[in-house]
Amino acid sequence: MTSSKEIRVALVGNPNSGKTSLFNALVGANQKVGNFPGVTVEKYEGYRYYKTYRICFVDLPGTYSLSAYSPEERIARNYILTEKPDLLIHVIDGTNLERNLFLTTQLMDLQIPFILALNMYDEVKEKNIHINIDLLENLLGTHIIPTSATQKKGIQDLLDHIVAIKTGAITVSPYKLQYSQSLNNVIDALEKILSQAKDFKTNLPLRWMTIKLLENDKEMHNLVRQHPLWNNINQFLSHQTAVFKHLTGNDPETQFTEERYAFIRGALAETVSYPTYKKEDFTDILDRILINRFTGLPIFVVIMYLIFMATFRLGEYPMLWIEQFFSWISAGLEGMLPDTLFRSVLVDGILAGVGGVLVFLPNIMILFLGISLLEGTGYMARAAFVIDKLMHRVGLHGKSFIPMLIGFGCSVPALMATRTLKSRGDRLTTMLIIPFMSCGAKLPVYTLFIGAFFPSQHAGKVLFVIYILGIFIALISAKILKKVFFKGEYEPFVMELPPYRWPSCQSLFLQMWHKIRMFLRKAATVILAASVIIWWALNFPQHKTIHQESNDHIPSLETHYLTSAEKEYVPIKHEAEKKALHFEQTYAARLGKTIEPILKPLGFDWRIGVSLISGLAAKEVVVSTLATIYSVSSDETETSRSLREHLQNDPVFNPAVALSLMVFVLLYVPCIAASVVFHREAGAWKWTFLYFFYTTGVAWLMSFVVYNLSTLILL
Amino acid sequence: MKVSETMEGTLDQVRCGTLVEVLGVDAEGEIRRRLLDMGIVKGARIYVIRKAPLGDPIEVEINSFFLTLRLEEAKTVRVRLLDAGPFHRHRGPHPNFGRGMKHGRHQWFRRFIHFSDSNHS
Repeated sequence: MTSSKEIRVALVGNPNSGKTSLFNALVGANQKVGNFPGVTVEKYEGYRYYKTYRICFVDLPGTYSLSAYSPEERIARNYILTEKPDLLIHVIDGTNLERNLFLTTQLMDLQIPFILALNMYDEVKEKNIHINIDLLENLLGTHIIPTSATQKKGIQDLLDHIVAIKTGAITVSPYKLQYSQSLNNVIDALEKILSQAKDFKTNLPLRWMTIKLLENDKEMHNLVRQHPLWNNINQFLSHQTAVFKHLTGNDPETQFTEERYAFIRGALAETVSYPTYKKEDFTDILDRILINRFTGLPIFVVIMYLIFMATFRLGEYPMLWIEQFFSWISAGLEGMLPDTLFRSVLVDGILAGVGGVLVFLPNIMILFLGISLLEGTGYMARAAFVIDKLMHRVGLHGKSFIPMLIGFGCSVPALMATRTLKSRGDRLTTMLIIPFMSCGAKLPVYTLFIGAFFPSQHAGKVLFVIYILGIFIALISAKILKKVFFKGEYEPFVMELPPYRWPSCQSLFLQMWHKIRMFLRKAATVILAASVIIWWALNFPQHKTIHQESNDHIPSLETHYLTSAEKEYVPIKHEAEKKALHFEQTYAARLGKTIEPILKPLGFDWRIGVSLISGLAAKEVVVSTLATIYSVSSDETETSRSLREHLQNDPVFNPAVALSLMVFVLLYVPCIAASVVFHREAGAWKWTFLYFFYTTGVAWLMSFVVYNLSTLILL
Repeated sequence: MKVSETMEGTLDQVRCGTLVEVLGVDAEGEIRRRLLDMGIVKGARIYVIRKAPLGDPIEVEINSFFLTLRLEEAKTVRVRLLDAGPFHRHRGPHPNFGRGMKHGRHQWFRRFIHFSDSNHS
């Protein structure tokens, strides 16, 4: 609803034009982030009161043009055309007018009111670039307001213009871009065909439609294709394109672009004067150090190392505090409440679940602070530049590197970090292979089994092989997935390396805050519910009879056969055995027994099956479940050593099974938290199913191979 | 065929520190659109700055901003040589390509790269 006191304004502009900073300067903290319907492109909305008006701003995704290739472009142009905001603010980077004005020429084709925010005006002055704003206004037929988002200059002026346009004090009607005679003739002819068709109705500006049709725009062709007029139009288009090519040697698409740039060059030649000698700036000097042939890679490695270490080492402390806080609360509750089912639900189910969700927060906060810093300063594009060759070998984009690296720490922030990838194919492929990067929670499992079944001099080698196997599988998978599911869907690596800038603290923290909110709102509840379900499967049904039976049965054995020294140990052991017996009856155990035939070829029995299922809650839980099954006391200092002995004594286990199990844990579907985040980020069940079956399928296959090979070699 | 020999070629063959003029773009579909959007149109001037450490994407300057593109994409851009290379000192007013100077001055080691290049070819 647009009331008379509300003004709807959309911000449109190139990436790196300072559009988001301007948006932040305009609305401050009064903003929220959502998604545009059906896609994972973020939609920032905010509002501000000014002179009794409520001005609502939408920050449209940054685009270089209004073609229909990338989702960002489609969103931006569909928003402009269908939502019809009262006014567009077109943000342009004053230090890079030529390319920024290219989008302006496309907006001029649309024939809708927009004003220009000439952003980064402080830098323009610093660089001694002189822009004759009045003359440029006259050439374009719109208002230009110099702004500097980082210094919060020109904001007032911009708001005054918005209100003045709303009240009608000033009017804007940008000029129609005049193309060459040959293009104009074709446009007019096609426009005539469209306008004379009686049953052809559209809300889109006709002139713009004809231009897009001539530019071979896919979306526009599809729109017109349904119409009976299509044959006429198609014939006209192919005929005119041929004629056009014959006359000018260009197809219309190229001709349009060339003429737009020609217009821009002409306009800039009249209005802008550059300094006669451009001195080397900060960006030149920094680039010569940061991405040169020799130091480029080492610096890249150091920066990636710092990001990784900050995320997981620095994040360890707040994680520890969160864990301690929750164990303190649960200890308190256990002390206060009687040992009932209710207490169990509250402490082991809900509280553990909430703790399990919050524990991700420090990692996510630090990682996204780091990523915003990398993107804000401009290093992110350089990082992609440095590493792209390697990533491109397996069909990925240079920007896939950071999510994959973060995957070694934890899949949850890694999956969220794939948002930096623009193309859907690149993004989904990266998301699908992140589980194969061995995350930190899998390490306790490896330590247990390597410690139990391999001599200590080989421990390091085995661990190394496991990690390398994960990377290897990831890279092969990327190649396969790209070929099978996302053929041709990749982002052309034609990317701007923006000048180095220092991002404002405000936008850094706002971005971090958006990420946390998104995680809490969209993933947290589902993760919580899922962990409660897993807890339930591991604890139910609670048969009183088992307790009874074991109580009767075991003490008699103990009194008969145990020495007096062992008898002192009995209460603990007894308790643990009761637990183990009870565990055999739970739903999880039953499920484990049901799937035993599937796991048999890998050398696993139902107990391993159960621990793998419980590993869905979090991978390190595999260890504690095994401890429960082997009725090892839950005394933590004892666990690892005695569990190790139990495993060694169990006939089911041998080094081959241990290897097979480690490979399975490495590759099978990640924990619930990661899977939920995956589903949220991928946005369709189709991909979640693929994710589940692909990872688990690969895990089964690889474990099968490893088990049989190592049985042959080792035994 | 080296660009320096024929004065015409594709962007992927251009040596670092060279100024070229675009003759046309042969790519199709989205890549073509991207290249055009970035201002790679007939008559535009591109200054090739450097290759990535691993040799693949290249960094160029066009219309006073920096752009990186892969060699396979650069291959679709036909160019004409304007500036002879790293040792040509670029003096005087040149609105968008004032950066030519620095490579002549600082990247002295290109002398060696240059030598080994010509030995192999």
